[in-house]
Amino acid sequence: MPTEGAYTITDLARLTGLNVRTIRYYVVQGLIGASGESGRGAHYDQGHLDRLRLIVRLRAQHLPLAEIRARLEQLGDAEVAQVLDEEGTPANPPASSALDYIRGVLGSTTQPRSPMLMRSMALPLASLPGPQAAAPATTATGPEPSAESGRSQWERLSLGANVELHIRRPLSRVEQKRVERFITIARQILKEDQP
Amino acid sequence: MTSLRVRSDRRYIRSAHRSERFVLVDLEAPPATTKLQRDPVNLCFVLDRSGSMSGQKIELAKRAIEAAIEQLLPMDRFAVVVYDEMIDVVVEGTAASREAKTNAVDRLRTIEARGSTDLAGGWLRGAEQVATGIVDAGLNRVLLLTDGLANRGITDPAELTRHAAELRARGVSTTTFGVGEDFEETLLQSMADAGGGHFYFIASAPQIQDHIATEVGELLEVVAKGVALEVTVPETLDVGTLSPYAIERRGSRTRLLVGDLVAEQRLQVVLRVKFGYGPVGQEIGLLVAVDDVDGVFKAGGAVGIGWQYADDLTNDSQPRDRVVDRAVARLFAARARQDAVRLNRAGEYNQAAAILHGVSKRIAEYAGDDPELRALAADLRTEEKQFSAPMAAMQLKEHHAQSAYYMRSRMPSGKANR
Repeated sequence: MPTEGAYTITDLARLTGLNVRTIRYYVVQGLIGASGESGRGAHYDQGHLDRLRLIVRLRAQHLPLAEIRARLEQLGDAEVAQVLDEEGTPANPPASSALDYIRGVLGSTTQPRSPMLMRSMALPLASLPGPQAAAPATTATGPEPSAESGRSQWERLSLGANVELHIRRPLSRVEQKRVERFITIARQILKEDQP
Repeated sequence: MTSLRVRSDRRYIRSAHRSERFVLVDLEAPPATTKLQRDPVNLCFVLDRSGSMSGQKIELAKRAIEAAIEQLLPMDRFAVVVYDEMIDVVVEGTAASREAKTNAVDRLRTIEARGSTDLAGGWLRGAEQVATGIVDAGLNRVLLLTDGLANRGITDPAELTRHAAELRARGVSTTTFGVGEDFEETLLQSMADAGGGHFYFIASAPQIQDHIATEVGELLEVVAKGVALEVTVPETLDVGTLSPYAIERRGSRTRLLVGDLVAEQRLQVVLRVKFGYGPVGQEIGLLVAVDDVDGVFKAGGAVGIGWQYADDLTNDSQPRDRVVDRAVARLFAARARQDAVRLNRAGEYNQAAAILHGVSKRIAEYAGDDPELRALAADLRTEEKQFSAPMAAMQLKEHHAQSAYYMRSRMPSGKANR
């Protein structure tokens, strides 16, 4: 069994669709390097395999061997691998951490508990907007509001970049006015510290 | 010692027609580690506390979580999140000291079932707890238990599955437990598959304990993390899989992500290989290697397998490897059963029966006189009748779960095969 990156000539043949004689010919012609050892146990590495794969590709484009050799001579192993991988999707590790990803989805900050704005607010009356405060835009952002079949409808409202309010409709007139006041205040608070 | 065996259903392929072959990969993880101490685990239990969980379900779930926490050592971390339409972090991520465990038991006792189900919110908050205390050299996992549908917050299964995959890629895996007959199994299964964990079907509340104990117990016995089958192929070969594992393709390499393996666990994976044309006599093949985070499988090396192009006569009269045929047939049968479950639930009885009929017929075509294959084809014909009429919810759940377990080399109990 070959260890990582160590292939026999039979492996190379199978993995490229070339026959063994052709591969030996390429070695003799200098298109790929010789293996470390000689004889049947000879092992080739990933660089050899990649070069052979590139040769197969270039041959399919009807390039003469001399030109293929010239091109291969210009490329190091890493570059050959890169040329081959162009159409694959090299899986780079994700740029963000798990925590950043989750917070991006949840839109949360450091508070682990579900934030309840009304509970945490204790504003003096003077700071509340007057009765003619602008009506909030009732835009449901994001996916459609989740609804329980045959029962009430929930509406999602954006209060800020990372904060949403869920409202179960229908509301009474009194409740509606209170919610509107609340939304105006909430949006003001969330806009604080912003330029 | 790890072991890796690779075999194909047939050796020859057609020179002048495109052939398809199957490859059975048999993988065995090494015995329990000889290290003095296992790697630490960092878990969060996310428990559905919606109204439908009230009574026995929530009580037994709480007790199961208590029992699981008791198994942890001070080097491990745990957290507990409960959710209905609100999400509460009952126990914030903490090392599993004696004090923390006692505190957790006290807090759990206060939980009662109440509202509706923001599954996504609860799960993500649990993931946040795990991510906050992420252990680089250990296992980081969210264990989500629910009896119902996601009906608040993010409910789109594709979106949740995508998040599960993204979290897995960032080191946080997800296991799901579905209790009773109302939960959405496709959702929980895909979250677990994409999330690199397991899905368990819990038919009734008294079984909750056993399944949570299985999952946590296995987490404490993992010997190889983030295991992937790496298949190297020539350009003219196209490789896919019948097994339900996530695939990554990088140039000439295809990787199947099979998750974490426990001591001596056995896994069977079936690859599906499609060939182009080739001259008679030429050999073509692929290489299979196993990769994991700590290089546990590295010493075993890669295994190659080859086929030879042949004329039609040689191809048609060649022997078949029945071990591979049986594994392939059982996988097709399992997939068909899952489709039949979905169709039956949707009231499409004729279609459900037709799917089973189709697979049964195909298996019969290559069964020859193999008794196992013939028995499988016969079983499917019997099930055809069953699925052509309405079936009880619990029965459908059982069928789905058994097929799902089989496809992932799990025992009928849901445990790892070892």
